[in-house]
Amino acid sequence: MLILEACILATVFCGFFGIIFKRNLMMKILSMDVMSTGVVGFYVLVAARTGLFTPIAVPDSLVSGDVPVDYADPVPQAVILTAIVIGFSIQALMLVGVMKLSRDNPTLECREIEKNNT
Amino acid sequence: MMTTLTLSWIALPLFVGFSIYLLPQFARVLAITVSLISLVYGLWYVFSSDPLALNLVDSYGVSLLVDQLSGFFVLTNAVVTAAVIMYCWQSGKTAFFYTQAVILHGSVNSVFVCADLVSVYVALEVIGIAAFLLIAYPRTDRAVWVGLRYLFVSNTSMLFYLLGAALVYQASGSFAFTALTEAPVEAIALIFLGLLSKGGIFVSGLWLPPTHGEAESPVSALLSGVVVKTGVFPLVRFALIMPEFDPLVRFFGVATALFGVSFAVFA
Repeated sequence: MLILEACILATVFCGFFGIIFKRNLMMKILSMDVMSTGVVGFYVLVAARTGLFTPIAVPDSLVSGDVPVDYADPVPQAVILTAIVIGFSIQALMLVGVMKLSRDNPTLECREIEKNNT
Repeated sequence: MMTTLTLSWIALPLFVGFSIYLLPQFARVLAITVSLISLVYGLWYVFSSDPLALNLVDSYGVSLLVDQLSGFFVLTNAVVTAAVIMYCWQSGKTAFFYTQAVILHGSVNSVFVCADLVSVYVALEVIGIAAFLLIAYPRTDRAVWVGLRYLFVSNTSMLFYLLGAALVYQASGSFAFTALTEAPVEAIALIFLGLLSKGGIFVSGLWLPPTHGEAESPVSALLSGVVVKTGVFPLVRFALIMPEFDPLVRFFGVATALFGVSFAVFA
């Protein structure tokens, strides 16, 4: 569990430092995606604390004996589903903006765009 | 009675926002009507003494809290939006501008009545998208670039906020504001990091002045008038729930005021 948490933290920081240090706008957007993937992974990990089975209610007749089933917690999964959709739409919006900028700044270097537009 | 009224008041700006596209000739009238309705609603809660607490769907659902504090913020939002729409009345802006302004108004209102971390997150992200579209409205390279910068910083700070919310859930099994009392300190640090950057408070707010300065003046009024307050409002709620954070939030308030003024003088 601890090693998984460390991996997720590493993903988040890879994405975060990518956003800061990459010079190309396209790479910055990809780094942001990496960071949000890390956050999604963290929610999945939080949900998996109680078990890994899909939380679907089963009729009692199908459950053989009283075997306790370890369900994953559905609440963080539902929450992160919303966040994934929002992140996806924001990324789509950003890519449209980048398409518009690329007409006059074909290299998409942040420093160049900043110099041309301020 | 008040419950139905509140829910339809929250949903109204979103419905109106999208119907403005179908009825572009009534764009300005519809937009000003929505802000006047919010004005009446805000005034009602400023003078009413009984707060309304709602828990929709189930115990894990959306929780709302409308009280006098929200009343004041809703009133501010309504006044600023109405002023911006009157300012733009003769300027020939297209229906797209009013659509975004009304959706921004609605999502800002929903931040002011939400009482759980996830609804606040969703509302803040909708605000980010609507604010980007408003900043990029002139469609020049410069406007698009300023908007992209805004979207980058706000989305990254919201990712930190989301990490903090996950830690709160891990500690207490709930996303409600009240669950923060038993949250570990790193969760609170991450949530504060997100909200302080979104709200432009103290040093973490230094990214805001260039964006606000370069947007068009009505959009700039909306951004610094109400959008910034959406980062501050959850902090105020936290300070009211957890008295030990009260001095911290007060310190940030005073420090921001002094820092902002000296930054403006020496810039």
